[in-house]
Amino acid sequence: MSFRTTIAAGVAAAMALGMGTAAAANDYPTGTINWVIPFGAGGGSDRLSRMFASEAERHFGGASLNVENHPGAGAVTGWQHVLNQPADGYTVFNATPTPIITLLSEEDAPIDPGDIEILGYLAAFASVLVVREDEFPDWDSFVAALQERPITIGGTNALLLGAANVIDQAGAEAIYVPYGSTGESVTDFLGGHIDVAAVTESTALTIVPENGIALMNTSSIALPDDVNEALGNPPMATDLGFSGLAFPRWVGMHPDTPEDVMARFAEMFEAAATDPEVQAAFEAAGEPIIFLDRAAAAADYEAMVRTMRNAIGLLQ
Amino acid sequence: MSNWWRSNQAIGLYLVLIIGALFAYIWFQPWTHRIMRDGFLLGMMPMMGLGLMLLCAAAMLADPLRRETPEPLQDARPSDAWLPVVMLGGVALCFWAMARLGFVLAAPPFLLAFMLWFGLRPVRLAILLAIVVPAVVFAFFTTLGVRLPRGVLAGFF
Amino acid sequence: MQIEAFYDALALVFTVQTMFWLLIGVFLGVGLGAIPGLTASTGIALMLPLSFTLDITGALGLLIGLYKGAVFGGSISAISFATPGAPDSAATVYDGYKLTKKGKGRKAILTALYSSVTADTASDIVVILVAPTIALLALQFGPTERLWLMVVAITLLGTLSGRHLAKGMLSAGIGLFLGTIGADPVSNVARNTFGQDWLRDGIHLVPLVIGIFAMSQMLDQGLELLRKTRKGQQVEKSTKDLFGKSSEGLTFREYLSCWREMGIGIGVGTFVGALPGLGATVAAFMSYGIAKQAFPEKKIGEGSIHGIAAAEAGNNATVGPTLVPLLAFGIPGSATAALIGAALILQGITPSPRMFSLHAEVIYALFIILILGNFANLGIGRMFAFVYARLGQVPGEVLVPIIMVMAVIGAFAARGDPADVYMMLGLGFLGFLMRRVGIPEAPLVITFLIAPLLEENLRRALLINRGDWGGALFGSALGIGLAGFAVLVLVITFRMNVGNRLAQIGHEEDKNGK
Repeated sequence: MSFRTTIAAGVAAAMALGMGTAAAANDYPTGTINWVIPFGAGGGSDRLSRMFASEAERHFGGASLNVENHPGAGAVTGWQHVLNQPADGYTVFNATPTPIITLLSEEDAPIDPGDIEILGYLAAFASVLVVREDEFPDWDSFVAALQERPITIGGTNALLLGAANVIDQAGAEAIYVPYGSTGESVTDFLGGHIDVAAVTESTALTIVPENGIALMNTSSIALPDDVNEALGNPPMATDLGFSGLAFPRWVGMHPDTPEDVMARFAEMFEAAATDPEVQAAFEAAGEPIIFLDRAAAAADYEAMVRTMRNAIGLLQ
Repeated sequence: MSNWWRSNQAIGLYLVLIIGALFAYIWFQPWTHRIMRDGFLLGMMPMMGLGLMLLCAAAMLADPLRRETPEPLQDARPSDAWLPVVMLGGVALCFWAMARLGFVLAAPPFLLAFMLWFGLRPVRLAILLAIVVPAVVFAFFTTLGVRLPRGVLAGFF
Repeated sequence: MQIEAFYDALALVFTVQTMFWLLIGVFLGVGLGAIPGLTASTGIALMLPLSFTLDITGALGLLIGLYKGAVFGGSISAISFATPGAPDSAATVYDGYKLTKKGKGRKAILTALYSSVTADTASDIVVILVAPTIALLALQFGPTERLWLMVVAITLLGTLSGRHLAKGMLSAGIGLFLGTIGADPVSNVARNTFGQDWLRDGIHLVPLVIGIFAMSQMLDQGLELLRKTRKGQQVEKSTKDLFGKSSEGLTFREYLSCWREMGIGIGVGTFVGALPGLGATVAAFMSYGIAKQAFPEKKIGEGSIHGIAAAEAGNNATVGPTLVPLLAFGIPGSATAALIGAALILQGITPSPRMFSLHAEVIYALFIILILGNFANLGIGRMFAFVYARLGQVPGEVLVPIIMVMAVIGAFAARGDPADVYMMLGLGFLGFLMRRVGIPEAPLVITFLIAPLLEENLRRALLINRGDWGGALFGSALGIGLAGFAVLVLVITFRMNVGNRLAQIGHEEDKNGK
């Protein structure tokens, strides 16, 4: 780096710092907060983000929420976009585990999963293992069978990570069969071509009880009571002494954002996510809010990245 | 024989060279020979595609149709290659401008330039169409709920 | 039949909105289909982003209406200007254009319309009666069986390769190579991305289809405009007859006299349509070829309405059956079915056999829309066919730049990823070069769609069978049966010389096409 660019960078940084804190201390937020999602328009994440933006906007101190789609590169493009924006609290990143899995799958990833400050979870879905009752009536018989013969588990990449994580901790091995969509894996499960389907709780509800039982919820976060009941109260990973893996819809910001801005945002986000009206809207859309505040979410995120880093090796 | 370079055999030769170079590039990539957990090489399917292409290109060197010249190439000129590139460049420029200025500002100059280039006369008609068509398209898509890039005019819509 | 779901479906379909979008779809379809270069798949790809914003029946009405309209619409420009609006109406050119030159263009267009609608309705009824049964059988299809189904589709590629087999297979190789770009299906590790992160998601189908089909056409036509070749002028006179009041219509007796050709079209179209990987173009040529062989006394090829009936019945009869593999197996049998499948997925419904139990009302709604679409096609086709033919008369100087802009919007709007637009432009150039050296595009698109599915299923079958190739390939009776069928297709293709015969027709298509 030449002398001139060093000075220029220094001046820019000083200006950014000075202006950032000055603006933050007084009147964050005003104007528009850009709500970046790393997926295209029309998908599930897009629908939920837009719903959140319209339902919860009034909790954000008069600022308006503007959903921006930045799809591409295994959902990493959006993340890079956020890191390229000024760290002023006006760009929020709302993602799922997809970009994290992408980053951990690459040998030289452009950014690290830690390059974000987690400010809360909006929801968390679980990987539920669904089996045929006559084959594996409970978890213990399943583990015993795993020791004896190879057992095939099908699901999308993320959900297989949840399965691989607990099975590895149980000291067993299985054959993980990746599918592009849950529809395909469930079709193969119903046709008897695979032994276990790793599915989200909402998919599990369409299989249980007619065509199978929920053997185990591999998540670290509990399901809502009514869902748990409908699935026949499957044991959770943590009940059996394992560390579970939840798949959050997380919300974060550029790590260089001033602390008071982040604290203010986390507060507003909590107020929005715990508002009964907002929750009712999400409930009606079939995607209930499972809120985790900043501290809990940050802790779970860190554990999740660590667990995934390990589990991804099992799937490569 | 003077026109050999347009024949299927010649095309086969160009293709063998291009595909061969691509194959060599893929072959020397570090990821190509990485073994996945199911025993497959990461580069197996790409190499199969290239292998099939290479085989077919090589077949073109020797098959019964090798002396034939494809019809569209019989009176081909060098401008057949670069004019499409210019057109694509124009379209790419239009899209680049669209992302910044918005659809309504970027499309008319492009349409006008291309209509005149393709020989539409009188100029008045071209100007009229270049203004009316993007407006109609934008209005149509907006009514249907598809958001086209708004660019600098974002505040006005 | 689940009568409740059927009632739900009626309530979903018979709304002002659904009817509106169905009519709009057919209207746009006939219009787009009549514009050379815009095929059913291009039209659907362009309209897909719009369909995301509609409810499920509105989206299905729009897309299926557009599909039906476009497959018929292609015949309008084939008959009027000897320029097929889409590859699948290329077989219509032979007889249709000769009739136009005789001043019987109106008769020709009406023959095309009535035989299209007749065959479409008949094949839809077959689909409705048979699809639920297939869905029950479909659960038998695991990775092994699906793998062989893909192999069957690939073996049929030989018939699509045109006269020069090496070029057809080369095109298939390009499709296979492009299809492998992106994350590996088993390990999720990036491969073949040339070190570019933005290629990690692979090439998306919409920019591929728009680039290879629409953009490459426009480059070709733009070049022609700059060269000012003389084509076109001579046709102008004859199209005037279309709009003249004096020109001859089609009598009911003449329509009935085409029953054998329509029967052939329905049979061939339904079968070919239901098989993954073929489609309307092959069906039209096969139907045309069979009719020509079977009834030499009808002078098909010399300006006979029977030739039009065979070709148009053949291509429209594939419309409903194309959806059977999608509904029964979740496997798109054609680019168009893949786009309709994408629309379903974006509505939260993954095409799979379980659709029949999970979303029965959607299936019934789809069936009702399939049938209603034919009536819409008949009405709109009749009212507007002659007016719409004027769209083909819009001078290329105006049309080509507008379609270029539409291609950009279509590629961008599908996902909102700018990389898709540049990808579309690059593929447009690739398609242009392929046209120039006589490499057909169809095998590329088919392997691009099929090869990744083939790979996924092969590797899943191998994982399930712990690396045992014997078990993975021949682990079930159904798998062995399908493998046998694939071999049979290959043997028939070579023995009976079907490939050669189709190739001849395919070559004539190249000549007569643009």
